[in-house]
Amino acid sequence: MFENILLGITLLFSLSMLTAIAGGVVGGVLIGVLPGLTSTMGIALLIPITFSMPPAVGLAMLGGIYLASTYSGAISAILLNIPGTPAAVATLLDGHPMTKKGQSTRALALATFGSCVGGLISVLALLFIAPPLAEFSLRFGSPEYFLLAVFGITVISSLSGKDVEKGLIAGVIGLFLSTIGNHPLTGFMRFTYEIPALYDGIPLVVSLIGLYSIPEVIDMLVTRASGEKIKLDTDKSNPFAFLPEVIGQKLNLIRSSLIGIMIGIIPGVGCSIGGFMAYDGAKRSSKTPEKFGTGCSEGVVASETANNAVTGGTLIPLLTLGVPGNPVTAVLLGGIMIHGLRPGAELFTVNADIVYSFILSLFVSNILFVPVGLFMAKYCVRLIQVPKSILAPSILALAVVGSYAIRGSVDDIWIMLFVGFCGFVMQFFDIPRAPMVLGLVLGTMAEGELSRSLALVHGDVTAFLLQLVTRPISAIILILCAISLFQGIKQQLRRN
Amino acid sequence: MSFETNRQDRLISRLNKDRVFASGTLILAAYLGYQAFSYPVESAFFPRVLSVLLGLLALLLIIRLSLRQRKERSVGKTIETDASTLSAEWRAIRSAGMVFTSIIIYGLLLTLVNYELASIIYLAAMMLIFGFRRPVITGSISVGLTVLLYTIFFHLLGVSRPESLLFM
Amino acid sequence: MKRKSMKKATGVFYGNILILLALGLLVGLGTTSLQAAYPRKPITMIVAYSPGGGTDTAARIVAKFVQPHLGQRLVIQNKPGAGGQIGFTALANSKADGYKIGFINIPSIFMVKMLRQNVPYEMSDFVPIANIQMDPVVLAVKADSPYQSLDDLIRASRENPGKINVGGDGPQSNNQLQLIVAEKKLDIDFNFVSYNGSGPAITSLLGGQVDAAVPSASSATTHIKNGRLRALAIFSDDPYPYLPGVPTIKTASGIEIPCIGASMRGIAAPKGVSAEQVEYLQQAFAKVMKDPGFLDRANKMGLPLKFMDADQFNQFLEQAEKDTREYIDLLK
Repeated sequence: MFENILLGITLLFSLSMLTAIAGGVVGGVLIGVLPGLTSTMGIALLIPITFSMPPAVGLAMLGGIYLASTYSGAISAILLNIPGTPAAVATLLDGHPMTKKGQSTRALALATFGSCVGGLISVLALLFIAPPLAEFSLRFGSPEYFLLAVFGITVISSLSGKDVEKGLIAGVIGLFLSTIGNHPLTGFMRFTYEIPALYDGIPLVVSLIGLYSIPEVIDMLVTRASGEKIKLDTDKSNPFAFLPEVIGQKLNLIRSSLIGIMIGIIPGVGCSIGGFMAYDGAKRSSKTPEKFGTGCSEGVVASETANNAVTGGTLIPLLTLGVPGNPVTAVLLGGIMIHGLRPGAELFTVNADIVYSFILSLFVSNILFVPVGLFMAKYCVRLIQVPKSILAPSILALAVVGSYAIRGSVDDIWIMLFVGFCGFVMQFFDIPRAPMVLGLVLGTMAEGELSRSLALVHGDVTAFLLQLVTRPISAIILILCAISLFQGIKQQLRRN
Repeated sequence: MSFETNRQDRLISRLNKDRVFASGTLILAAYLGYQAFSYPVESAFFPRVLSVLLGLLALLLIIRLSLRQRKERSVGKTIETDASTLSAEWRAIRSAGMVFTSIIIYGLLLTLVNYELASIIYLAAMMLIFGFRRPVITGSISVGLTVLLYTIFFHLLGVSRPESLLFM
Repeated sequence: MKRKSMKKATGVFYGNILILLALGLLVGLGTTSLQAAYPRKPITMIVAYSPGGGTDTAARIVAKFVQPHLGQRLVIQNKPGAGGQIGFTALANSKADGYKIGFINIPSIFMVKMLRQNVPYEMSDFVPIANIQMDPVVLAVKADSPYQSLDDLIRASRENPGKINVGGDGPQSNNQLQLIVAEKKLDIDFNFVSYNGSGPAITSLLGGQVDAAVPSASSATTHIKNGRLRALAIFSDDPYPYLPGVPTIKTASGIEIPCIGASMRGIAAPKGVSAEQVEYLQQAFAKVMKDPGFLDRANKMGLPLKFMDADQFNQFLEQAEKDTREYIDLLK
């Protein structure tokens, strides 16, 4: 193995390789910052370009895009309260309040270094313990997925703020939005009103744009009229001054990285869930949970560390088994196959040079997005000083063009508008929006896997319930759910 | 005008905001439940459960709100909403109306004329409406942003522009 | 003084631009008059699925290699959604000027039409140009499964009708259609469980969550070749080139089973394109299918090719529509 790593290193330090990584990282940061551009889309559209490159170079570029875009969604979340990618929704909860307090440089630095650490730890896992982790990931069947979704939903109490009912209502509405479209097993159309654009459900990115961009613009107009201004960045310090603060949160970094890697290796769960769960974990184990949501550094670090730890995690089943865990890696699989490479054991022996140089390039990408991101962020910080009368229309135009571009469909602009209306209503009545995103992300999984679990035991409900307790992993998740619920209720009672 | 705002103020202060939300949620739950129960059970088990859950949560919120109100009344506090937050609320609703209308117009414009023209017109008009009154800057930003978005989405990422009726 | 020189500079600048523009116009006119024949501008191809999926990747590779044979760029336009319905409808409704063509999937294009109400296209809205690809359905089990052959699996399902779980892309997919046709012909009963695509179905098979799976051959090839899955049969009339040892369903079962679940991907244009344009396009795609660069790339990726010219494709479509209609009720 070590000779393979050495072989990878010799391949890595070539001009074309490093240029490809740098190009991928810069492109990825841009893709992540702009809501409406997703890593999936970026990678899918760049694959035809990479196939004229040597495989190692092409893959390194795609990897750079993937890692950098997962990180940089935090920049727009922190500065504008609009998540650039679904993974940044949990970052926004504490990142934007920090900006409001005039600590945007600090928030950005925390997010950047957290992402870097999470990413690096997950690539270490990919490099050294991928095969056993991949085998473990296959043991997740429908009952486990169903319980995992339930466990994710219990996180809502951590995202709810003062009134837990409001958070739960938001979560249930999010779950409802996820049921729009065809039933995952029967194909029956629900709430579609014969509009073909709704048959596949509402696209997550389109709904995120609506849910955050539109209320933010409305808020800008209101505060503009009242003459209220967001505080400028008052701590104009060097972002590297905050590196010790991040390193100091050792426990948080390790916990969030582990959560991220675990979520990453389980196919079909994804970056945003990793962020939410790590945020929840940080809040639960914090001595001052009431500070979360008001600009707490641990929240930003947890969410960002975890969502970048997911990236390495998702590559584990991808490279060792050829099993993609999320839409991005599904597209990445296409990018690997296009070079005639076959994921699996063969990839690590016959094509060891390519696969090891790819893994090592991920280390470089994870480190390289730090300067690129911080440089970009330095200029993006000025966005909050741009007059609202210019910023607001620009965000709206981006929201409209971005929602159109996801599927090349004008109908998606109207879907974005509908979700934007929901977002406005929620903001107006002071309802947290993060639980709604969580519901939207987990809904299809909860519903689909429940029906699938039942289909697998031929509709026998008792057999299904028995499975939940007797299958080892599902029993563990069941216990976690119970603990999470119990803790949430206890916290709620203590607060009242 | 002053009469109207006065009436609006009274309307909102009578209906506590949270209670409006809770009742709205209850109505939503009833509608969604009505829909969900009209679908076959094997395809709508999940939405059915959710609609019941949503209704229960809304009821719970209503009960908690009235308990809290009673408690506060017994302490002698009266719930008064001060005028400045009220006008802020109406301003939010008005701004929202404007934003939604503008997006509808922009979306229709995109399918009527083409992306470039629609975007430049939309950006310039919105900046003007939102109170930015420097024509040269407005013009250059509208054109610049349109070109930037064009480059990223339609040139680099190769997404096709929306099809429009009038121009290509 | 300074301002004056600046004005002069801008004057020169604009002058240069004007000259450039004029030159550009001349060159443009020149080329137009030289290439008056079709195609004068890039041709757009609608793909009814998202960027990065199997259909999209295949389309993009074809687009890249067909460019020299076409004499123009072939631009991909993704119109995903509603299982292809949005893209197919867009193709049916687009202008028949020869600059808009589509990558169509068979049997999905029939199935959408037959299974849903109010689908706003008819098969007669499309003019077939050429077929490019054929991706059959494969019946696979895990490598350590007790079912060594198709016969083992059939025997097991006869002993426990409706109890053997078979995972596959679904619901109402070509994979499910193929399985149902096989069940009818072999007189057996499986419990089909839908997954969100062939990929997740394979994952669940690898994890032993289902007894067998019916993924598309192209997505299962890797796993079959590296020994994690065992292919019992392939639903295709001819052996599958990338899986040479796997018997066709006819050899394995001894029964004639129509292979209507195989996913065909071909090129079609909206009704009304001129015969010359169809001929030109057909020639271009026929040439790309013999292009060594393209063949090499397709072979590396495991892209199963099957060329049919416009006439063959047309006949195939008519037959496939008839076959699909015969069995579609089993899916409802």
